[in-house]
Amino acid sequence: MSREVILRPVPVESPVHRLRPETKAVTLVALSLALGFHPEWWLIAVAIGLTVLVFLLARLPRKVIPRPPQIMLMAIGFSALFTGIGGGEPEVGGIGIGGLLDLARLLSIGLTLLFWAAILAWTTGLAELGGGLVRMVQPLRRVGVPAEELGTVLTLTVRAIPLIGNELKVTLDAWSNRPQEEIKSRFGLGPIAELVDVGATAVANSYRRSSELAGAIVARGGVQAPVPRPKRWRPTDIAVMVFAIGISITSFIVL
Amino acid sequence: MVSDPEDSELVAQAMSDQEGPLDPLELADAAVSAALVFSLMAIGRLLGLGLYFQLLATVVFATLATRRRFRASAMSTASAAVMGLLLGGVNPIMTTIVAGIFGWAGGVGIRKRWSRWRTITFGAVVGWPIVSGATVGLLLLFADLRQLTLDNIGNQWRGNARIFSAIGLDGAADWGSRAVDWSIEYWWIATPVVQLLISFAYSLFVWRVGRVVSGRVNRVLGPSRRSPLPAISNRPSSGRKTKKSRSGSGGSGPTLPSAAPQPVPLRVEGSTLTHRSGAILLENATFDLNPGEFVALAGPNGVGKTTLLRALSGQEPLAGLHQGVAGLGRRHGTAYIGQRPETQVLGLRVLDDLRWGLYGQTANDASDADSGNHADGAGATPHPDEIAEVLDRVGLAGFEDRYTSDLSGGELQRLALAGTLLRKPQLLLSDESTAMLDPEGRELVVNILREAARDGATVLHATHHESELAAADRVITLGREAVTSSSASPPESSAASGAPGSAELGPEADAGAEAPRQPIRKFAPPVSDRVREVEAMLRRKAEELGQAAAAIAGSDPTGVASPTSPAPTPPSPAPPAFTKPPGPVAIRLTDVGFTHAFNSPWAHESLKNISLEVRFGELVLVTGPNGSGKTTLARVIAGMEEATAGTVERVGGANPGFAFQHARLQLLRATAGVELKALAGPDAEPGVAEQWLSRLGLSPTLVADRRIDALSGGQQRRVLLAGLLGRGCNVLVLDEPLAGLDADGTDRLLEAVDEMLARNVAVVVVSHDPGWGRDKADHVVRLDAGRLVSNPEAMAIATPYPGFGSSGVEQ
Repeated sequence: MSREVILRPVPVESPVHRLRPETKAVTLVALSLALGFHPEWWLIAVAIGLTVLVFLLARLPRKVIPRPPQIMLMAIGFSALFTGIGGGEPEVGGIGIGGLLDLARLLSIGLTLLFWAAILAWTTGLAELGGGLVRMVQPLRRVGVPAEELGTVLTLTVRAIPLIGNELKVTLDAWSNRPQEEIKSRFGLGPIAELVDVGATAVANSYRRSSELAGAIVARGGVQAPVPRPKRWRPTDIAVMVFAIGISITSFIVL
Repeated sequence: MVSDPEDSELVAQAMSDQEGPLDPLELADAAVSAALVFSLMAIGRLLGLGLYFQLLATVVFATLATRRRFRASAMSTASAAVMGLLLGGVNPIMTTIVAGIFGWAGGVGIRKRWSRWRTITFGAVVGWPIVSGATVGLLLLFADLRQLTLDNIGNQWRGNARIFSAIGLDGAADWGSRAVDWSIEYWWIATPVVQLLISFAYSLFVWRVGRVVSGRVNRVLGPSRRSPLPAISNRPSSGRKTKKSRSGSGGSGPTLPSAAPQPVPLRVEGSTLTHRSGAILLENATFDLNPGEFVALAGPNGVGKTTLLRALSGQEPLAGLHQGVAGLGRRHGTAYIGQRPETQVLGLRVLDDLRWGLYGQTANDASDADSGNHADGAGATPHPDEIAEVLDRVGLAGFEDRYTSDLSGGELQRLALAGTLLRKPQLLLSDESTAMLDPEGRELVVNILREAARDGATVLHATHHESELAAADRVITLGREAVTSSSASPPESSAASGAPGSAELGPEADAGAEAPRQPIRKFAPPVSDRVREVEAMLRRKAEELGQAAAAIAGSDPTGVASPTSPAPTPPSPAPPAFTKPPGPVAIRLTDVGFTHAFNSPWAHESLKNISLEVRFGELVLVTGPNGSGKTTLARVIAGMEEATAGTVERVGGANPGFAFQHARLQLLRATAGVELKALAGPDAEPGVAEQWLSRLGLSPTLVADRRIDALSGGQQRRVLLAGLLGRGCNVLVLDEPLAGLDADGTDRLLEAVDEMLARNVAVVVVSHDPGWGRDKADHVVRLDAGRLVSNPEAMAIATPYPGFGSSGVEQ
């Protein structure tokens, strides 16, 4: 079920939905840079606060947050166990509170960024985001990157994602509906030959779609995708961007 | 186990000596690879199995590198990396780039047939400096975060060490502590060293797995080099159609003729098409096309319709073709529309899609204008009024700013048509553009095509649908022997092409695999079928009587037929004397409801209050318009989705199996024999699946070593069914099983369904064609907006859709 709802925007009206996709992406990058430069509690607290604020502003229902996969919870649990035993000042009753706090910092940075990316996806359609990304890579042509071409590939990538994702889903579906013996070998434990077969089938099926896409490009008589028209810049966009970049620069230079 | 020298034969290819920007094939491969990588990464993150899916992504990039030049790999990696931003920032971006580098390096080694050690060394030598340079750089830059991470590693290790000590492994703890402490102190040495080891292991993996996967893929798709002219390849040949509108220097490859397009009138005279395997697709074809004609193109699958259309659009050479400049994609030239709606539309928004090609040709810097490729006026960016008018013509008025990802299949196909109409083509080629649409969508498309013909374009529309053939001014029927063109109702003439058992097979297959059968009938069912149906009925009746006692346990003695209708007469085509008693119940749905993405913001109810029964030996047809919940209902019946309301009972040992619409996606192994065993599973009785396969009309011994991709679509479906039956499934749910099959494939599949019914298997067919299978259905369940249509008697059983068979696709 969760596979169906990944990267799907929640159709509600909100100030966050109205922001340009570039704004949201730049904010994400700025936030991750700031946290990278300065992983201190107060900044983490600011980042978490901002994220929660944006989440509320976006009028996203709490139900959008998926249950974390068990394997992730287990990994976190084990890390916490070892860290606690391992110590780190201050220690209380043989448990390293300092070490646990460090771990908590790392985890909250990772989760905050992941959550921010999720908000990005929940408030922006993939196509709209793709358009934003295409526009964002255009300035790269100044440094010699064939940005138009990259834009074209990006556009086609965004077009192809639902198609390919759907085919992958059917393949995984078909796979998980196989008789028991084969399912056991799903995650690399079983015969590699089978994994190779499945992988080859998935890739080959995708490339079939690719030759259809190529046919459509040829039929248009041109290879270059038009750069999508942007949404209007609004004062909020500029304010949010200035704020995010400001935090990032401050954390780098001042602190 | 992994090494498969045969598979790697096709891998090593001379890469084309192309330079400059990517051509359409390269672009599409790069984009599809990036999309595949992104999807894999997303799934990996969601399942918490990032590393596993990163390895898969690397194999994807390796495969791309065996097919395309470095530029394509670089673009694909960059595109996937930019998209990685959506998966949570820096980490997925880095992961994608790492996968791209190692994938490319491995792919190059595989393509150049390097030895294992050379490939691995190359991968490590290319990948390691970049990866560890970037890592060390980032660690230097983010000093605080680095310290935090290193502290954490130290803490965690100390925890481990204490556990080791506690269980008496003091030595390990001690030794490990020294190593970890040293690594933390000298992280700028330890990190690159560890990464060097990882690089070798990674490259080894890419070499082992990538070699086999890319070998299989390249064998299935054919080598990626441009096809040497004048041989005909089934695939687009990259060289012929590089529209390097921006590469001023790309003079080595063939360029577009700059003359004004003049695709029609055209004449094909005594032409012969040969597949690259050497099989003759089409012999001695002769016909004309004149301005303003609406011509249908008929003929069984694999006869060369697509290849012919490609030739007429100037993408393949064809001896005996007399035509002016085709001018594909140019204004007043040739326009082409393909089968699958999702791949016909390229832009993210409707407006961008319509401008694709037309827009790009003018938006470039003036320095490229000297190539003169599009001096005929194709370059003018279409005026908004023009776009609005074209959208209005295809029934999409006001759609300019809509995202194409929100459009339905029918809307996408009409948008693609708008793109062609915008070019005011003289020749409009449609390669089964209606095959994936529901009846309503088909009608709309055909009307648009007809209107285009009325406006002066020559329309050539390939199709299997009888109603569409009838709607054309003229039908050209391709067969192996000859091409016939008739102005009257055509289909009878095509019987000439029906050499027994040959038509359904793909070009690489041979006739031997098919069990012997009568000559193929085309569109008019002969008497023998009637006889066969009565025979099947008698057989079924006899078996039913025998089995009724055994299976009666769970059945409903009153014999109320499904669905909820009080007493429908079985709509079977049998003579009235053989009114069939209802079979024992297999699956009973009571007040079933289903909500997609239950308990999430995307929750969407797609089924409500469904009650019906599926009985052994009976065919239930689930029908309804697109989006009515047919496929969801089928998945619920098959137990692939759990109903969110009501109950689904399996009675009398019912064991459902599900056949997806695209059989190819469900057949995962390389050859039919292996696939059959895998589908049946380890617990299956040996030989049962093979027995079923021969009952369904395919010889197991002949098919066993056949690669799945060498089988036709209909054969693939039958392999799938035999595998499921071999597993012990006795309730088969088939989603649009006739989609994309020609008349012969349809016949064979319907025979297979008869055979299953005769052996008391319950069959549920999902189709948007209410006359599916020529009214074979014992019961028809009609859905509308997720609910059963209340009055089943009023259903269109008596007035089936005039189309022959069905080949619609939901969505």
